[in-house]
Amino acid sequence: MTGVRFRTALAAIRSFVRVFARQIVGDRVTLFFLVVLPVVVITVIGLTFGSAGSSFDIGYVRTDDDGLPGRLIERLDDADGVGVVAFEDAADLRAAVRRQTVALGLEFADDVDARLAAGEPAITVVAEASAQSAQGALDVVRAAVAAELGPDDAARFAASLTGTSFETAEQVASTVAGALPPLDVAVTDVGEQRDESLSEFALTAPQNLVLFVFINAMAGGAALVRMRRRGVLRRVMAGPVSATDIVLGVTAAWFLVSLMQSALIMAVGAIAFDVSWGDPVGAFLLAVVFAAVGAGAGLLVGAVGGDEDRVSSISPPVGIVLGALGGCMVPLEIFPDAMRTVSRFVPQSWAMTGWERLVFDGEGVSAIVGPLAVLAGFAAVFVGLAVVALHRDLRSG
Amino acid sequence: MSGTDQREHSGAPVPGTAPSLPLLRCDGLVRRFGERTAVDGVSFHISAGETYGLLGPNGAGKTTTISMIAGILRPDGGRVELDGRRVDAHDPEAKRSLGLVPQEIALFDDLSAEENLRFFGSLQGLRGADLRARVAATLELVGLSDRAKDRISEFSGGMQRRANIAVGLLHRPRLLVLDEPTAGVDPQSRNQILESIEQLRAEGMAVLYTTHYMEEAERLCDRVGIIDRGRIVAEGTRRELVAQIGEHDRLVVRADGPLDAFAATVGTLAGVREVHVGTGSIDVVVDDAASTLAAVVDAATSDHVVVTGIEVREPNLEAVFLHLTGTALRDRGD
Repeated sequence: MTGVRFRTALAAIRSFVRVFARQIVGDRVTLFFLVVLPVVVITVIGLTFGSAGSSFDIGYVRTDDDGLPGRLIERLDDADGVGVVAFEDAADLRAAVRRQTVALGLEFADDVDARLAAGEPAITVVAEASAQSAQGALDVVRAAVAAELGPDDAARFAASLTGTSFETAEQVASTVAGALPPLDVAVTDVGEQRDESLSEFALTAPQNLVLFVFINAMAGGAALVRMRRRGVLRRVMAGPVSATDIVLGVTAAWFLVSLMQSALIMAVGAIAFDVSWGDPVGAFLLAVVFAAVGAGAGLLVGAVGGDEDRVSSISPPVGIVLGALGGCMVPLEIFPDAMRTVSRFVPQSWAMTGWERLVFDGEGVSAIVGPLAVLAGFAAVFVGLAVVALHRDLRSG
Repeated sequence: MSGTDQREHSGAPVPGTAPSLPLLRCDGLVRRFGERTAVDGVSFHISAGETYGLLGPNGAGKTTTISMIAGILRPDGGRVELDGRRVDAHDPEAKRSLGLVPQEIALFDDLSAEENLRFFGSLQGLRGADLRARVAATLELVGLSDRAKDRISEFSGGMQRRANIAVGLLHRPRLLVLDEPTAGVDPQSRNQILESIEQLRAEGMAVLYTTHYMEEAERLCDRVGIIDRGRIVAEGTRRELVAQIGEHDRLVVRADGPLDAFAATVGTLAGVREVHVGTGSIDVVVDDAASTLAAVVDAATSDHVVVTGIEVREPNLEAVFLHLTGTALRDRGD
């Protein structure tokens, strides 16, 4: 390519990028779908279905009893992912439980120790049955109570069996409990290669990145249909640019729009929702290649579509179906085998595989070479078909 | 519009400029769409500063011819040279001398007039202050300066047409190609468009103008090519075309006095072919009405005839088209 030809091609790319950017900025509906909607969906789905349930607060009515109540609250406060909140009275505590400000509440009887010695209920658990976090919190409370009351139960059992006093039996039980070795439980961390914990948005952010980049790129094809129908592209051809320059310009503009949307979702995910996108180089490559896939799909739709309204209306449902097949709605792991096979024919599934390896498995670039290669293939096919169709359209008269 | 102000120089540059090689040369252009031959051996040329009209009904091959000239369509045969360079897919630079105004409003309707001009200007390699200055000047030329920031979709049909023309003019091409630029516009906008083109012509820009409005071709064009069914069936100035079909100018002189004697005197004047005496008038067939008119008035004075009115009737391109194709232009137009 000569210097003049290179400059002309560059001018075409710059011009199309600028004009598409201007069109997007000037269209509130496009901006909404491109920027606002993905962030809103990530937030809503993340908060609803994310892993936030592992962190919750347990409320209790404030008490000066440093016996069992004090020990129990201290144990709960020390537990991972659990916070404790004191309330002045039972009414406040129950209101907080109803509002789900706390996962559940604990009300201690005034004479806890006497009731325990008599084998009577000493602690009332207040819970909102429909609250998703209540069950998990209840398990935590049961475990804490069992840990605190284990020696007491043993003492009560020993006293009734041997006839010694409860106090004596309790002293013996506490001594023995302290001398026993702790239970050794082996734990395997399936995310051990990650150097940080996962945000509750860790799954929804990549899912929606893949889903929305593709849908918006496809729907953006309507703009290309409009340009073709209005004769803008043919008019451009009357200038000192070739059909190849035009295709290059349009492709570059589409690619940059997709890439910018990807960057935006990733930035919002990282900053606002504490999403870790994994290995930076891998994440960059995956975002770039999938943006190329989206751009190619948008170009293809724009190059062969005959009616801009039809393209606008059909693209979102098609994108949603492809996204669902590709694991953007539910994880690929829970797909039946047949559906998993089908999903391999849509680019979204390869993108999701890549993100899962980066985000959840903590892998690097080497682990996503396969998905990257397949996605690059999808992009090449889409762009190639679009170029042929655009060339044919421009030359058809 | 009277035909008396027709420009009659054939392929000549604007007076005062030196003759030059053709700016545009089309040789034997052929274009087929499947079995149909849309353009079948079209040849013509346009000199610098000349306004050339391609006159024909819809479907005659005007737009296809223009598309080949603009490098949008590849000819199946023949060649196009613009400013001495062959226009083809491998040399888009040859098209830098050309500004195209297509028939459709080929603009981004969701962008402003100014933004549209910037887009097309940047594709022409214009940038920075130069681009801004040309955008402003071009919008001024087409009378859209005060609507520069408005979206094209908010424009009336006539304003959209003018914006469409502005894009073609932005880079100051040597040849402006206008494909039916007044189709579907109101009379006021139409006149504004025609005046803009006349101004460009006066400034020395060559213009290729396609239309099926005969009066526009007569008003604007130095030469006209009549295209029908993909072929140019006649070409020349209006007078040359009229002469080809044997039609002549006529002077209808209404007068009081001895009309028989007056008719006899007029019959002896140079350039007069026939004289018919009617009731209160004589009908004079002449080679050129403009050059004969003064002599006819002098003859009336010398024969003591009081002239009460003179009507000049010049055969128009409609008559030429009818003669050449056997159908009226409008019958097959819109």
